[in-house]
Amino acid sequence: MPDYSEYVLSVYLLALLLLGGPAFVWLRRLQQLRRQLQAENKDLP
Amino acid sequence: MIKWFAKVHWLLATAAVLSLLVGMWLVLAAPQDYQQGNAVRILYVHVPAAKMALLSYVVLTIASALYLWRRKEMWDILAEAAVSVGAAFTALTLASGSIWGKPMWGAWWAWDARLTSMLVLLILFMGLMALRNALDDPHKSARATAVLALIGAADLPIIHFSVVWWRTLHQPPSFDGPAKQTITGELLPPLFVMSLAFFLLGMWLLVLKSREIAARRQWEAVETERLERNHA
Repeated sequence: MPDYSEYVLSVYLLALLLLGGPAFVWLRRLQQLRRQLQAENKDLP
Repeated sequence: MIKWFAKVHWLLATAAVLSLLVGMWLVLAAPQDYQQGNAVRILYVHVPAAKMALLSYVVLTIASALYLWRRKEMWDILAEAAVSVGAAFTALTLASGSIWGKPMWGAWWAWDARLTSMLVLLILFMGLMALRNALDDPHKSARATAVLALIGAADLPIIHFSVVWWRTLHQPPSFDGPAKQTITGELLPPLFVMSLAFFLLGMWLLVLKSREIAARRQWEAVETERLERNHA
């Protein structure tokens, strides 16, 4: 039976990219917005 | 609700990471399938991602209905977050299914009822994003996306029952309660733990995106206020 490891690895890397990517971007944006709001003396909602 | 989200944010993130680590350990320790070999490990991502894609749309439907009924902004924020999270899980479901299909079915794609209805779900999520960005008036865009989301909810039962109603290349449910189990017990622990991990991850993403949207809207309000002050 073929190994299929390359298919498995590509799925797990894709999961990391498709779920980890947005999480990273949203976290960065939230931190940036927090800094901007703090500069205006406002807290995060 | 957004204040409550801030409290559970890191708790959910920690729980998601821990359960993902346990899940990955179980995935690596699980035996190969006698027919699929190693490719069975793709299903530990594909099945939980599909469940989360559908759950995201359920959250979107409930939040949209509550927004249209109560007109409270928090429901619109939750609906907008559910669209982004749902689109990511749906894209992962389709891509992982396609990568599994190539070695198992000999084809990347088939116009089968389950696959097609799932593709419709991805198009719906993308359409909802486009519609929200297309309208300038935030109240109008919130109402329009809520109505479209409720209409699109008709796709959910079609996705769920597609493998029962039609003869499809996609297999029927392998686990529908202990009485209707066609999957060997050895493969169930990693599937359950990965399902829990994806659920916690999905909830964390929903909380994170909701907070980001709420912060963005607050910042936009600050900017508008400043512009009006400068014009006055």
